[in-house]
Amino acid sequence: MIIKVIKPGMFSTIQDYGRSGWQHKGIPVGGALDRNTFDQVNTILGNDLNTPVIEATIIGPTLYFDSACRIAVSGSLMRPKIDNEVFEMNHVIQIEGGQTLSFERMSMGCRTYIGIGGEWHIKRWLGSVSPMIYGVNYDLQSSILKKGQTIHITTNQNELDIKLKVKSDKALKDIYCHKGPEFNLFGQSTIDLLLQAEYKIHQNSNRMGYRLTGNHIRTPDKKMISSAVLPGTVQITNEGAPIILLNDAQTTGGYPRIFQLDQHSINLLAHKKPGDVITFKLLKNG
Amino acid sequence: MINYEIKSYGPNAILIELEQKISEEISLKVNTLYDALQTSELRRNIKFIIPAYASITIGVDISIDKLSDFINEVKLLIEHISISQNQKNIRTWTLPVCYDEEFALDAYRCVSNLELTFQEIIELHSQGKYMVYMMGFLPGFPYLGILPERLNLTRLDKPRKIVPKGSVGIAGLQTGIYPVQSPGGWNIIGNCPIPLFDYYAKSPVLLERGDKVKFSPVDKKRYHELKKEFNNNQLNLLDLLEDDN
Repeated sequence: MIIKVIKPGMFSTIQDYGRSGWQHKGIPVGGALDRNTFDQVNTILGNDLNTPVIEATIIGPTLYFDSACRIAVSGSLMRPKIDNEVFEMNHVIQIEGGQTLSFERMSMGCRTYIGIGGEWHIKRWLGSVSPMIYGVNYDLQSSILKKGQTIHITTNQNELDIKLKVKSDKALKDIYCHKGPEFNLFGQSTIDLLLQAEYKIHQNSNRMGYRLTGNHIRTPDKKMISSAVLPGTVQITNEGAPIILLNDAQTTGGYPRIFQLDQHSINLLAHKKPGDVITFKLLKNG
Repeated sequence: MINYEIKSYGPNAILIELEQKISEEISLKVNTLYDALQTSELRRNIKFIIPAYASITIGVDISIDKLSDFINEVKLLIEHISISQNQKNIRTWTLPVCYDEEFALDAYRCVSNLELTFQEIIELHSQGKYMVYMMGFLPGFPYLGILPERLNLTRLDKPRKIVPKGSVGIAGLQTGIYPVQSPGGWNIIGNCPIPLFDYYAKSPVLLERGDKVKFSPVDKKRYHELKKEFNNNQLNLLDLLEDDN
């Protein structure tokens, strides 16, 4: 089956689990931000784990299907339509050849995942389909959707008609954190200030990281020597602003790492867009 | 012996910090520990290892209740490690750099702040033999050190939005090469025509932690010849390696 990209949407990428194990060469992990939704979409389609999924951002793509297949859409609410008829998310949906999938503008949240039942024929680089954000021309990467591009899939017909159990936690603003390696360099009053403040996600936020606007906090006097950073690492910049690193972030950094988010919190954050407000909560035994 | 401290880094990683200083001695200890982890029994529970100047971060694939057992095993491994003087073959690269004013974007800033002529800066920079202390920041970006004190210059106050691919920069006592175009705050003094990151190559990143690097000044004509040779597959990158025996 061939899918033709009629409109790519705002920023639609093809993602899998990413390429862990290359960070020591400076190569970021990449991969779907909301791993839980990624897994769920593949599970209800009967796909193998790590089958690629389209990650759409705020404005979804318009895709033409040349033959029949099954799809599932989950994540932030984006009102998917087949030939202009809205259908329910979190279900396996049958698409017929000649039909077009499109989306209404996202009403809430940020990212939606489009799974397709079958085996994707798409180039992997260092074991992953996920695009490389640094230093590789976007035009050369088929995992960043572009107008007119085609995607080749050998469809399967695994009959699993399960409705996804979707947690209704995507609108929550609390982001739970573990202590990061430099947590103890910050005074208790500074930590308290950070935990009480509300932070707004800055316009200049993406899969590399979320910049935040809100209370600046006091940074430690001690300068640190550059060390590894991970998806979900919360650093405090020299200006005292927190920044949350995500899957496409660089692999080392020199700002103090105050918190570390676990995958669950990253999953939630994947549905926050610029302008949304979050608060940090420290896990009890974090 | 390795002096270290283990710090928690979320539920899926631990951080081993050695003495927090930038020195060849510490860096070699990190390398020894990195190699030991790679070949240890613990490897099967490890998703990734990220060595840095004076630390190693280990990503683990185990449940949170098994993390403390894992940490104990890591401690055992570290305490039984022997820092052998017998390092594996260290590769020494000679990388061409064109210091022409077209590429040396911060030549003026360097000259006025370091109180050296640009020719003296070129000589100092290309006299040294540097070690790759860390790979990070960008795919294939080597943190090289240690520069002579006379080249010690702080980063730009405001990072440049676009640093061209191949740019050779200095910052503090470090020097590095931007393998890809990127924003950046290092003082740019030249450009290296040899790609340190090649998306299409079988092994996309040229340098490795622990490698040694020397810079050899080339003029613009040679710079463009080298680029052309590389693009026409006429350049064997292994020729840039010094025979170590």
